[in-house]
Amino acid sequence: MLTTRGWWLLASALSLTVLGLVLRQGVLAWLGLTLLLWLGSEWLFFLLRLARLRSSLTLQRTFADERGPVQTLWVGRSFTVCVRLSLRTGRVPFVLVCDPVAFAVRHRDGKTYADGPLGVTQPLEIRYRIECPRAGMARFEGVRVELTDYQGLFARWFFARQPVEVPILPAVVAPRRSAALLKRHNALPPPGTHRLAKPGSGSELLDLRDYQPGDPPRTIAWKVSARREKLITREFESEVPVRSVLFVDVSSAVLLPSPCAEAPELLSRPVDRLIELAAALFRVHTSRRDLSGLYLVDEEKTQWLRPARGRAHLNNLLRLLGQAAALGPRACRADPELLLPIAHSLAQEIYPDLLDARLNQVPFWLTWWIGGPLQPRHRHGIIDWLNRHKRSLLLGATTWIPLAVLLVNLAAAFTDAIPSWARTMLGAFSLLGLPLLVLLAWLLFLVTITFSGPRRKQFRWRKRLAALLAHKHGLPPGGLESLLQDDDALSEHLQRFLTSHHVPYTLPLYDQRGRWLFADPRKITRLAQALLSTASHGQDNELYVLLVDLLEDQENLLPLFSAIKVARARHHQVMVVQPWPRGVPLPDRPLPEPSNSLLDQLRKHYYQQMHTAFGRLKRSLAGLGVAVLCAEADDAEQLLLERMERLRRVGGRR
Amino acid sequence: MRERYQAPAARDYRLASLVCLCVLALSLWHEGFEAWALLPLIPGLLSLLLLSSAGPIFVLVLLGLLYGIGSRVGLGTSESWWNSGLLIAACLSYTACHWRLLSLTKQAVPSDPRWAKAPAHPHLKGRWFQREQASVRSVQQTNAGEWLVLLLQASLFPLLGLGGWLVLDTEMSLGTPQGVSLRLWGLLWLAWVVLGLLGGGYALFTLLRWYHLSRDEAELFLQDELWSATRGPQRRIQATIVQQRYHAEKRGERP
Repeated sequence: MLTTRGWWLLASALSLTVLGLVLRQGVLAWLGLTLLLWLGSEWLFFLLRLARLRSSLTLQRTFADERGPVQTLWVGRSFTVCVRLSLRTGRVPFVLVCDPVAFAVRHRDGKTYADGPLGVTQPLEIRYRIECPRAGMARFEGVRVELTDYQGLFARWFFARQPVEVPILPAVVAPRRSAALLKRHNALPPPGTHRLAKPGSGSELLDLRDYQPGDPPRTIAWKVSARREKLITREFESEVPVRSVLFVDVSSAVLLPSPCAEAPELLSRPVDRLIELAAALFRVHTSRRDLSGLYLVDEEKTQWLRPARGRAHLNNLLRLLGQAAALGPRACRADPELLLPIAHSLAQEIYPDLLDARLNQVPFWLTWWIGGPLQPRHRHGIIDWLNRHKRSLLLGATTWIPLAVLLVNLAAAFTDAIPSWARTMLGAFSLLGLPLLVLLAWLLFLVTITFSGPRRKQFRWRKRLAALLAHKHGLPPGGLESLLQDDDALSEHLQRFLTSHHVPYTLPLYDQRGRWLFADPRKITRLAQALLSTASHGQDNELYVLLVDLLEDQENLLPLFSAIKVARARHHQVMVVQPWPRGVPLPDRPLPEPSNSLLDQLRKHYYQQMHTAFGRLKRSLAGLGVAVLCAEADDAEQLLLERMERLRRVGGRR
Repeated sequence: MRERYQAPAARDYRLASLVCLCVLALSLWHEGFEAWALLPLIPGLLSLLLLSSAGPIFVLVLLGLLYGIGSRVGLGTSESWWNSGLLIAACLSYTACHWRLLSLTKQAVPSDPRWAKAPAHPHLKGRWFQREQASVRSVQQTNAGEWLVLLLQASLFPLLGLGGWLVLDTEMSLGTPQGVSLRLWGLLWLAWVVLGLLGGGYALFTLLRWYHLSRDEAELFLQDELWSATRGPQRRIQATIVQQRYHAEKRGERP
């Protein structure tokens, strides 16, 4: 609470008082006492102001665009954030407030901080502009408040938590139309209806056939009947709505972030592109009054919206996509030590009160004696091993082994069967080996303590975060120690913590045994179930677009192939859009010539693997009559729409 | 920085600091320190020029030295209470004005040491702990009220200090026990008062803090107490559970 200035003033005032008393110099003692009293009164007022600020601070946050306040943000547009702080009672002469910008948005201009007096009638306002680079959820945690006196003798900051989550909806940009609209039919159906080459009640002629009793007289083709001298009936096409259902993959594999070359402060994820494509398709469907539905599929659950049309439905679809974009990857076997620094920093900023050493204590001796989980999944070298086993080593060498030797000596004293050479060895060990062992153990302990500073710091972080997470996630008694001992549990809870605060983080892709951490066959099973369910409830002329990563686990695609066969057998159309990693050449492009460096060679090998896997997937699905597109292609939207248009036209002609 | 330094509010505080330093020097002169009275002016003026926060401390140290050494060599023998009061008021005002000036121009809030420990990932840069604002007061936010408070403090606290000194002096003169030197008794008295105030204040505020704990804080504290009491057995239980799970994974019973 006391700043450097405060400490110096306190020391000076005390010294002057003591000097005045010792030298019997009244002026010095008087000066020292005056300064001490002044410092004391400033401290008292500071504490009162701090208490008032903590108890009666109110915070109001609004978002606005050019036309006025908004409830949702949109990708590619800029918005004004306005934070208004005031006190319910009283007045504080000087505070500094700072509004941390949410991770999902980018600060554009304007100050994110303000300072000055704060009171009931003297609010503080922060106003700045942000832009939204991608869909998701912007979480504004609250404001950081710093209180100080005019002289800067005391300072204290705290975080006024008032989280606000605002969805960032994907941009609804209509893709450009490249193909000219040619009128191929006599009559264009109204929006929302499409021709289907099956007999129905449409207006376009489909076929002529012999008259059958019961046919309405108005369908008789009189001229043709006269020419053929028998009654001929006209058959018309069906006019049905086209239902499109998009299956969007939101599993961890597509949520994995990677550094974005264009903007290093942002991480790009395959799911962002999928959501962009899905939003564009929904926009086109809505403009044509087609019915659109959505399935969000991941490893554990499926969320869906049944096909419908209209602006409200489009908003619901986009909101669901926005929520999906806000998810984070999950890998329960990821090393928690990679996530600890970022999670601890976040907790220090937002939950400083819950990391306070008086509430969330780490005894000073704990890290000297205990060095982390007894059964770690991830090992970090010899120092880590020594740090974890230092207690056992020290106890063993200084207590258990000497005790055992003592017992053996006692036994030897009462037994004659032991040969003399064994007695000599035992005596030598007792007199020379044992002190050496104890010395060695202490030496090892001191070496471990000296070199394991960073590991002991990490263990302190781990304890504090484990307590915070156990409390926040409502773990039962014992949950705290479970997080301390179980690497997998801690990793899972850390990821949950970071995801809930929408903090981007990177995860290792492979574990120490080289296993891909994100392969999960449950996703394919869930996707197949969703496709089967939709196909079984679907009507004619439905389009299923699977925006799913299928490259990762091609051996387990059999359930999906079965579901696609069922859908095709029921005359539905299926397309697959494969997400593609940013920076990897597209499948139809040539690979760059690598230099001789190992990194380039490895990169080329990886590109070749990706291309091979894509080709294999394309061939397997082509056999089922399913087209596969690459999501990262520049004209992916256009290609997708053209293919869908073609699928619409062929309808039931097979 | 330059604009801040030339702003009216900064100019006023600079001027007030200069006036206080001059009054301080005059008072010292009047006390009989002759040319030595100009000594505290040097660090004061230098720190005003360089905007150093050490100025008031140097002035106080030099005052201590002047009085400490001066009494031995026969300087500063005047015993005018009014003059001493003026000196003390000037000293307090100078300290306050100088640091207020620094709050306006250089630093009002100290930097947080944790900022240096923030994660260094490029995508997290500037997101937290990296306070983007300069940690100074806005020069437009100053008002007449703070001058009034300063005047009040400069007149009130010397009086209170005088009262404190008189109490201490009386206690030292009259209440010194047999066999204890006057100086030692004064120091003991001061130590008791300071420690008593600090201890009492700390106890009071700790009590208030416990009383005003939020629900989250209270729950976390109880959870931590439970963990402290049962840490050993829990550690063994959880380690065994984890070990069993790893063994099951190795045997292929778990994925």
